[in-house]
Amino acid sequence: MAKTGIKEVARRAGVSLGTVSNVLNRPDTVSPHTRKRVLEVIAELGYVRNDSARHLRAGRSRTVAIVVLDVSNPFFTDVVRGAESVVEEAGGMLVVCNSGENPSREGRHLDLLEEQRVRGLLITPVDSGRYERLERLVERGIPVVLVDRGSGQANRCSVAVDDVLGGRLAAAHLIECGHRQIAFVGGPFAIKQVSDRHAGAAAVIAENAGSSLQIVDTPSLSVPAGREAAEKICSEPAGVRPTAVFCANDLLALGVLQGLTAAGLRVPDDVALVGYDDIDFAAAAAVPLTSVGQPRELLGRTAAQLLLEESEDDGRHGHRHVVFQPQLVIRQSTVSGAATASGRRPSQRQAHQRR
Amino acid sequence: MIPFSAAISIRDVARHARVSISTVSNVLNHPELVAEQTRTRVQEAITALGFVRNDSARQLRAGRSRQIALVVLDVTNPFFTDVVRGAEDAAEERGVTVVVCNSSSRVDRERRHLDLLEEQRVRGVLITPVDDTPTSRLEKLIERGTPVVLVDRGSGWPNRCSVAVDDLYGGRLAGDHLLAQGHRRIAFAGGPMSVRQVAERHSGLLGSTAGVAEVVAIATPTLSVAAGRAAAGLIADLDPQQRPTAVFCANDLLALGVLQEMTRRGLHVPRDIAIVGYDDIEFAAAAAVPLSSVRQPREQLGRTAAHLLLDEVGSDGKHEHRHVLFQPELVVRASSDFRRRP
Repeated sequence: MAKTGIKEVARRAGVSLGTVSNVLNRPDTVSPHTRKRVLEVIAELGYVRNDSARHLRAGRSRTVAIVVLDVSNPFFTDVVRGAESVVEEAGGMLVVCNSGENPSREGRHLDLLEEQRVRGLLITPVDSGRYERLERLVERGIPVVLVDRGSGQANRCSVAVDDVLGGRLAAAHLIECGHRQIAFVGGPFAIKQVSDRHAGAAAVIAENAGSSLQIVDTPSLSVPAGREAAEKICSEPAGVRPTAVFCANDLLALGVLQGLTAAGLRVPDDVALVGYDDIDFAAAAAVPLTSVGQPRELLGRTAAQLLLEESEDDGRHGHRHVVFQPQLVIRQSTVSGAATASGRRPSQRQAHQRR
Repeated sequence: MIPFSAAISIRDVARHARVSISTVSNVLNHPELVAEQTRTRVQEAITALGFVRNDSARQLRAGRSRQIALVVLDVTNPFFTDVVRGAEDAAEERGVTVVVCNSSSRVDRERRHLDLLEEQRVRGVLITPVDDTPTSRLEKLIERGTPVVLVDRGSGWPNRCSVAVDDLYGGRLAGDHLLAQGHRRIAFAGGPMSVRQVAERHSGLLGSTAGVAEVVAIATPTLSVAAGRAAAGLIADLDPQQRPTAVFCANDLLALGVLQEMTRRGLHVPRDIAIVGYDDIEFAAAAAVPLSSVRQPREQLGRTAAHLLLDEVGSDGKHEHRHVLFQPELVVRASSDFRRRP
């Protein structure tokens, strides 16, 4: 369908093209009377400023995109909410793209976002080996901030939570509760968060003679994958079976909880359970989950702030890598009688920054 | 009229440099394939003509992007993220990607999203609208030629398709089940009643139980886990002789809150109190007392909406609008799997 152009607006309002453009871009420079007339014509004709055309000239858009691994994981939707609040305050809008942990879908999203010349991109990449694709966006002047992933790269910012420390916190808590045979449920290990959380737990096990960490590898970080992992654990005879399970995220932990309960095992008496992320559903589980809390909204907010800062100050921006500290939230899945769901929330977290 | 239609094209560059179009394309995309002398000549032509190779320009010619948008009320509600997944699958089959916009149930945010989406020339919009009055931003979008499909909203509007689930029937299903399990005093937890889905689920329950069982409505300020915990506290505090023996919740988040609070107070689910939720989100089955719930075909809702939208996009105005109404089904799990004597 034919679109009304700016020329048509100018002709009808009896003003120059430059005046229409001023009304759209610098309304303060146009007299109220003229402005009103132009706006009336715009409304009457249904003229819509064509952003694509404007990008050709200004090279800028008001859209910031965030590409997440799994839009159905509450961890990411909380990060989205944090990023959204900052982007909107600055007058932009955030759109969400879901890679579904699928590299080719991620690639298609990146292609389109590049074509649209979005203002900037927040992303948790599917595979840490595929940074080249992001390189091209950076070269074309679209700033990229990595979310939940330490970057160490000189040409972009990152925000992350110290996942190795998180793994340490979980394992140390289980050791303190007297557990020696512990299972780590998580995967795929190509996802850096998974391997880091495992590494943290493994380090604690190595420091404690007589303790062991068994890996139950999962194909995804989802509730059904947790249920399957629980079946494997339950099939082992008591005595050999781990007495505690540390899961790479809360979705897995909820699946494990369900699987253990279905098999007649009690949490925490027969098997203690620790999750990761402290999503709202962790506290709401009928055995409230002990979990490693991440400052999810703060992560999103910080990422968006770094991005806007970079997109605004033409080349003088110094890239930063912000790492937040996770906190263990203890509930009944590891300690009978611990504070219930509404109990302690992770308090003020401290961030330290590496330049 | 498409702006910039007279812009310098790759054809002009090819003519000016006296090479084929594919040679110009190679210079742009695979310069290593082109002899240095030719490459220089093409680049000089590009500079001389002021040719800008630009994807925005490509998009202008095509008129529309390969992207559709899904505007949801609450991106943190698993109901919507499942709708997203369904829409993504359908769109992907047809080479289109989906971007998700979160209106947070706010009219101003919905308007700003629609402004930007229209400027970006998205191919179409799937939306659960906050504002669906005749003067809304959405109405303008449709008038100006961007196809729209309503999601989780019945329409009756002649100028757009819609997909929805029959909430009245869902409420009946829950009521029929609880009656069959022997319950004669049933609580309904949900709110605000101005949300159409809540009101219809409540009406369905009333229709099913009329004249047989008593229904106590507990109004909640939101549809969240925390609101469910508070509602459960009110119910549990009632005199055990007067207390409802079952709770039907307007969504699963509420039901999870009710389950948690009842368990905390030492009431057994389902023996002391049965619970039925709504939506059948993944966390319903994952609760330690797995929740009975009225299942909505969430992914199918998203898939169908995306198919209707893309059919309309490809139809050159010959598209006939459709209103698809899905029937929900009850999934009985442990939280209501207990028969009591009426």
